[in-house]
Amino acid sequence: MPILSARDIVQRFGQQEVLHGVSLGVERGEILGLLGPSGAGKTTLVNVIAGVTEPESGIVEAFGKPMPSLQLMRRMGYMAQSDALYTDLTAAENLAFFGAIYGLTGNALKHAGERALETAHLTVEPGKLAREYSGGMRRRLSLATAILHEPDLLILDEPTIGLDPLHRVDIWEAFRQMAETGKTMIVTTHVMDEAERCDRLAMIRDGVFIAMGSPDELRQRAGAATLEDAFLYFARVEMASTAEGGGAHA
Amino acid sequence: MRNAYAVSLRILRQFKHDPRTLFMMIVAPVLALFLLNVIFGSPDYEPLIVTADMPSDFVSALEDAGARIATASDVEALDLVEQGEADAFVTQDGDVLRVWIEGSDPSKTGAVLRAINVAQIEALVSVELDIKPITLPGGLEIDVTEYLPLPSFEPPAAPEVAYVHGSEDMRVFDFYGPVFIGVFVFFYVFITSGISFVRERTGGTLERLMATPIHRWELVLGYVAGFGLFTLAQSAIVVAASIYWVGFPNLGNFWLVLLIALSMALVSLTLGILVSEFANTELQVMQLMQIIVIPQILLSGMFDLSQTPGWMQMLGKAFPVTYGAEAMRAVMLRGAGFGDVAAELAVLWVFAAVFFIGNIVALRKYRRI
Ligand SMILES: Nc1ncnc2c1ncn2[C@@H]1O[C@H](COP(=O)(O)OP(=O)(O)OP(=O)(O)O)[C@@H](O)[C@H]1O
Ligand SMILES: [Mg+2]
Repeated sequence: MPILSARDIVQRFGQQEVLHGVSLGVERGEILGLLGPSGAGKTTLVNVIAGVTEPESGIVEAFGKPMPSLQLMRRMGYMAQSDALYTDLTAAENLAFFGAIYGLTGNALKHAGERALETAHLTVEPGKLAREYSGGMRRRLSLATAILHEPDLLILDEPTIGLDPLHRVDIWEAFRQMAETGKTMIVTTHVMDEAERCDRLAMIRDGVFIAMGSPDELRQRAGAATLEDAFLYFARVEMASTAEGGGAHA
Repeated sequence: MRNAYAVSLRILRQFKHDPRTLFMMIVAPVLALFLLNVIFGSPDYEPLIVTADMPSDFVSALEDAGARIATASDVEALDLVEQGEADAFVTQDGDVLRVWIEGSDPSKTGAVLRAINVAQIEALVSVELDIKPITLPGGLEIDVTEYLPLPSFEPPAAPEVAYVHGSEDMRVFDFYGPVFIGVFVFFYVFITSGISFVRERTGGTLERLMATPIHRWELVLGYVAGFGLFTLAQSAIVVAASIYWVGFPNLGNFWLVLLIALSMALVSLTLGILVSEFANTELQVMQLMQIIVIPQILLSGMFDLSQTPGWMQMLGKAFPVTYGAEAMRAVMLRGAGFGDVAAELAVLWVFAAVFFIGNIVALRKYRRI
């Protein structure tokens, strides 16, 4: 049974339909990458999955139960595309606030905070406000607040955007370690070398999945040397089929 | 409940790192009240009146009535009034007193007319009839005043005035003071709470919170509690400064005044958060404030609405500020007790409760649960 499943998700903003009925499932311990260009609907989809917004139609189930549910959210972590930090608080105060919402206080909070910062490869300076950190440091602090309560399911919206290659590698290693301990992750990206590190990829374009499978599988099916070429191949196939069949979501 | 506590604790910490906002929340309303008090507390205006060919009795009577006097020729005098350098020009045309008034400031016009009225009565009273006894041939003197009824110029006796409320010493501003206290608390609390909640949206933290197991009501309660503490402090300082430092007369109980101010702050707080849910930027909060707060202040009873069209009076009654202002006046000017203003307080708390629930409902647009 998948840890998370989304079925026929349709999302609309005003007149514009942004997701045209997408479905996916993620297994325990898996890192699923959502790969797609800017504006494809990645953030919209993960927001629906995380329960931040409600879809127009479609069903999301986490741990076998329907979302949104506060009980389930307890076991989920979410890192937004924007840092979503209180920039007028210190790093410790940000961690304390988000920790408190998951019931972490006192020593438990202290240890959880230390672990999360270690995973995010961030050293904090006491008394320094979040707005005084560099952009990449804020990104990692944002990650730390998302993993603080050791969620079973992590939803990360472009977690490494704005990070240097060294930190990016470190953080992906941390993701892999978490996956090995049975945590499940959904990560959006439009960086190909990150996509390469996912167990499975869902390629999304204009609100539909154009392909799904492991990186190797996708390259093979497309007969392409790189994931980038594979993406272009599946995009062309998709365009051809919608042009022919009139398109299910035109 | 625990989450509400976490939210309010976080707000307190944000304030701790932002002492300037804290300072402004308290200093700004006190400063405004102080300035108003100095303006309205200044002595009455002494009009500058130019006279030409007026009897000295009348001129000194004008001076006694509190006017400053200058003399000039007709042409010069009219010119001075025209330039706004003098408030009025008074001259005599036969038996008729002719007055030209500058006229653009009704309060100065009033001061001129009052001085002239007083002077006219005084000049009349001070006319001494110089009637000499008639000496008849033969040396007999007859005092005709004994036989003639002389017109009496006695001014009417001053009425005996008793004040049911207030006193002779009450200045115009003292009537407005209680309303200003309430309105300022309302205004400044609205700005701070509205802007800080809209920041929660622009910074992405509201969406982030919606991904956590926090109830919508916990978030709203946390905001109200966290800000409530500050508005409590703010109201206490504004009320105390107004009464003990600026010197507004207060016939009622200090704590009752504080309770009313705090109730207004609570309405403002919940309304500010509600309004910010319909704004996307801090600028939009300010724009909405112009539509939502300014009319409330104008129709709060600060100005007498009893002669305005019925719809306007109805509109005033639909606004919470009106009830706060009325209760403030009742307590501070008429020494009303808790029982007298309980109805107004109840209305304020109902408004606060409605806005509070409105906030929880408005957050549904993010998450149903
Ligand atoms: N709140 C909103 N109101 C209106 N339209 C929106 C809103 N959020 C997203 N959209 C639209 O939905 C589409 C998909 O946006 P989304 O943010 O999901 O893209 P994305 O794949 O995350 O892109 P990026 O890689 O740039 O983050 C875009 O066309 C965007 O304009
Ligand atoms: Mg995005």
